[in-house]
Amino acid sequence: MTTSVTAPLLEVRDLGVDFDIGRGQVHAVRGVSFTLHPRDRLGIVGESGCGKSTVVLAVMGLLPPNAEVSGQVLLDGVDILAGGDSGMRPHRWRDISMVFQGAMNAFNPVRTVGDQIAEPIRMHRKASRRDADKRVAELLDMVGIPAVRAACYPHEFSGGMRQRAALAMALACGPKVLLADEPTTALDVIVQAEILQLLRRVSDDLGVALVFISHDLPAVAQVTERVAVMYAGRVVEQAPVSRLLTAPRHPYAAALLAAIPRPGAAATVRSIPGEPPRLDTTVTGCAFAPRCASVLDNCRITEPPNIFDGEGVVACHLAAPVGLLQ
Amino acid sequence: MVASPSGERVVSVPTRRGTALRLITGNRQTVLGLCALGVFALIALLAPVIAPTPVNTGFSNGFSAPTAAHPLGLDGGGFDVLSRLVHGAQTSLLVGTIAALVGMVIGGTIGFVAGYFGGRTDGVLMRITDYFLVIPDIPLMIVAAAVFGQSLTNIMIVIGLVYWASTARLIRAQVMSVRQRTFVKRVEAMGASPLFVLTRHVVPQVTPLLVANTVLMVANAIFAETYISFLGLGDPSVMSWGRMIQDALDQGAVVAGAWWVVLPPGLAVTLVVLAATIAGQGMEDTLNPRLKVGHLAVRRFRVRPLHGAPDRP
Amino acid sequence: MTPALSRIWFAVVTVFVAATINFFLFRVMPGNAVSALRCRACTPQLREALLNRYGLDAPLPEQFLRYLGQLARGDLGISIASGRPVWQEITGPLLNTLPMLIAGTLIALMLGVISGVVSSWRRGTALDSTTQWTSLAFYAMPTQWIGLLVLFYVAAAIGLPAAGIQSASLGVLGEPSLWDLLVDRTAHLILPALTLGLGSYGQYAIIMRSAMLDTLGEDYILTARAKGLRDWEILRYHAFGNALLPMVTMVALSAGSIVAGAIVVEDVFSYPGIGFAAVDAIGKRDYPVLQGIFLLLTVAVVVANLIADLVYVRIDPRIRSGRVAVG
Repeated sequence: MTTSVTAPLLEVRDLGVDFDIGRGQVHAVRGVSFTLHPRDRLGIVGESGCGKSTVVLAVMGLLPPNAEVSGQVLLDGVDILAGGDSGMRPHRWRDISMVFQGAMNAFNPVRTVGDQIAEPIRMHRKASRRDADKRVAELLDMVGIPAVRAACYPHEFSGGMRQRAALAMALACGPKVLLADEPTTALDVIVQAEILQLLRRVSDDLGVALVFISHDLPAVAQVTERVAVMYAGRVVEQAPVSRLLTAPRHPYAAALLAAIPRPGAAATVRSIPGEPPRLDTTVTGCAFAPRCASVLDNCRITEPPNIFDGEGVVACHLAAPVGLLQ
Repeated sequence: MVASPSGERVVSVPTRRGTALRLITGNRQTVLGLCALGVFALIALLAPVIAPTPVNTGFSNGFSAPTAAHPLGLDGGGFDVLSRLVHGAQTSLLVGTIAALVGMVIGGTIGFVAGYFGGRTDGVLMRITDYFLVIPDIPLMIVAAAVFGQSLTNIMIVIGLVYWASTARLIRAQVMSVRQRTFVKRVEAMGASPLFVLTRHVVPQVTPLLVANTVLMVANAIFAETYISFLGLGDPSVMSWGRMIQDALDQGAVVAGAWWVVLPPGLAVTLVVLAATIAGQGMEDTLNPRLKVGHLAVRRFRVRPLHGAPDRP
Repeated sequence: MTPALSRIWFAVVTVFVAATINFFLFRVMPGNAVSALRCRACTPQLREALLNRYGLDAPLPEQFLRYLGQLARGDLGISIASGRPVWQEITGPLLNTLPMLIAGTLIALMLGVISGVVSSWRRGTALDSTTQWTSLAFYAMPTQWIGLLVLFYVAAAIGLPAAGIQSASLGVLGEPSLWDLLVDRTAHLILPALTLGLGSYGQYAIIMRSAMLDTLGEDYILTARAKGLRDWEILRYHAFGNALLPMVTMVALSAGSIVAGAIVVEDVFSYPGIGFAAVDAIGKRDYPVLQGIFLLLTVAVVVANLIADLVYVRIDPRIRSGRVAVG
């Protein structure tokens, strides 16, 4: 793991998101914190609905109007959430950019791909048409798309190509942080591998800090150095990849690992019994307690605190004896 | 919610008891619109009773502002405006309803036959429907009305004969979609007779849509009647709102500043058409909340599949 | 047959159908066709000429073929009222109507687009409701009544001419200049066009709104926001263009109703266009003129539809390229 001698690039502190749905509130994200240094590669893993996409949308200030965001997002020490939409806008794409889930539809069907990649360049950097086009060619080249395809329309690209083009677009203004939300979902395995490789390369070559969101733990493990596991809106464990894969400390993380089918391993696929909790009710105690194999009585009463040890964070009562309490 | 083969939206109507009730009461708009229509219908029915004076009795030589005796004053011919308005309600609502029913019967039948039998029948019928969709409606009505003389019955038939096309398309799409649904195919495979499939599955899925469509068509028909009688093609023996608007123009009500002659008939038409429109839209919304685009399909832009138009989900 | 060709063929057949309807309407009128030529002002010679011309004594199929032949030659018959060829009667009025019609359509489009954009951008707010109800209200109002209201409340206030196409005072003191003529004509078409626009914009508003809502819900709008675009930039560069595509279709499909609106508008404002000629013909029961106008209007609407079909295919890149994704 990268030792944090340098100042953090992106710090998310105690991020919380509540959605007002008229007949109540949905607590989508609770107390999420993580830190990114330059060149860091963080993965956020969890099942559908655990709040991982909401976290990144919140970081970029792209949530719908009925969302209430609490907490802080510090970019180079400055809270970018505090200024509202207008405060956030200068940072968008220039400092933090995003590759969306289902990048297939991230492109406007009636404008050329090149045009759309050039758009933020011309806007943020006030570049001329020619300069922007040059940059577009560079970007496309970087992601392995022939530059002539810039004049094509999105529907003329295959799914994998569109994903790569979306990545090129995200890098257009040379951001410091790249948020990739499910960049490989809905792609076939071979294309997936290519994209993962591309992400690694981009992070290495351009020094971009990467946040990789996915439900696919093996894929995340290939790209990132540190992984945060989310459940019901909370980060239940955050640890270096190597440790998480070999010795997960949160029961949910362990169950996730066990559920991954391995070739040659036992024939049965072990899924986690039960269902994630509904987020429109307030949870007493640990959200995972109903499904936990190692549940204690205390788990149903008190919410587990974040327990820090040297390398990571675990939100579980069971972890208390082993690590330091903070 | 599926897209029909030709791209129109169709609805999936849960067939259960109370669909009829839900159709009428399920939506605030529908209730509002139907109540308003009910009020107008009541006025129309009670016209002879509630009109303050007989329609053709003149009271003066010209315009006269509203007074207690004549709440809406007198028009250029000395007739009581309120009485004319109330009697006009009869015509407009009658014509609107019957014409819409005519259109519904013709359009519904053709659409049904085309959708049910498919193949060549469908092709031919839809071709004819398309022609009627493109040919401008009001001009056709004008020509037909001019030819067939000015009787109320003829007007009703003419309007119905011109407006059936969009209903046909809608019903055909719905019928086709129902027949292609898996559960219907299963029932057919089980050996159910065509009649059974028809009455138990197709009809309940199609009828609510037909009803909603007809309500919208009433709005169109009243609008059309207003046009026709405004242009002097209506039945001269009955009062109608369109005729009142024409009289307002001819009698120089504008120049005379007689707002009590100019405002009421147009306002009445607007209110009735509004009521029918929101009632029909409300019904369509009840059947499928996502159908909101197709609302004006019946009236002014009649749904016609465009070559290559991408299917919007 | 290519799609374009089949579209054109459809258009031709539609006109043919309209012409056939014309033919049969005229022939199946109550009373026989001869008495249907109830022109009291007709001289016996004119009557004779008309009978001859329409060959009303010949068997029906023969009449039909004659009729089609005449149409193919551009012969729309003879006006019962004036004795002149129909197409001569309607060419002048047609030229008068066109500028007013185009102006009215543009006004309707403008109002519709603005209304649709405003109500979709501020969806769910009071502004949205107000805009929607307003457009619904105008949509429900009979266009002729809007005309009366315009006459009543607007004409005098603004001081625009409310009748005819040319001021009587023009040309009194010598030949008017082209500029004066242009200004005068324009002044005269403003109120009719405004009325037409008000009466027709409702349908555009509703389509624009739903097209915008559809568009605004798409992923690429979120991407645009993420890129840091401002609201108006998103609207202009992403939402608007996509939402306008269905509008193209709309304009074509609404041609029929705009034409109907134009007829009554010309009546209310005594604007000597084709609608006015139609109303005149109704009054005189001048069937050939009436049917000629109907046929002309049908052709116009059919052509409008055709153009919209062909244009749409060209402007939507997804259809235009038709290529399957490569790579």
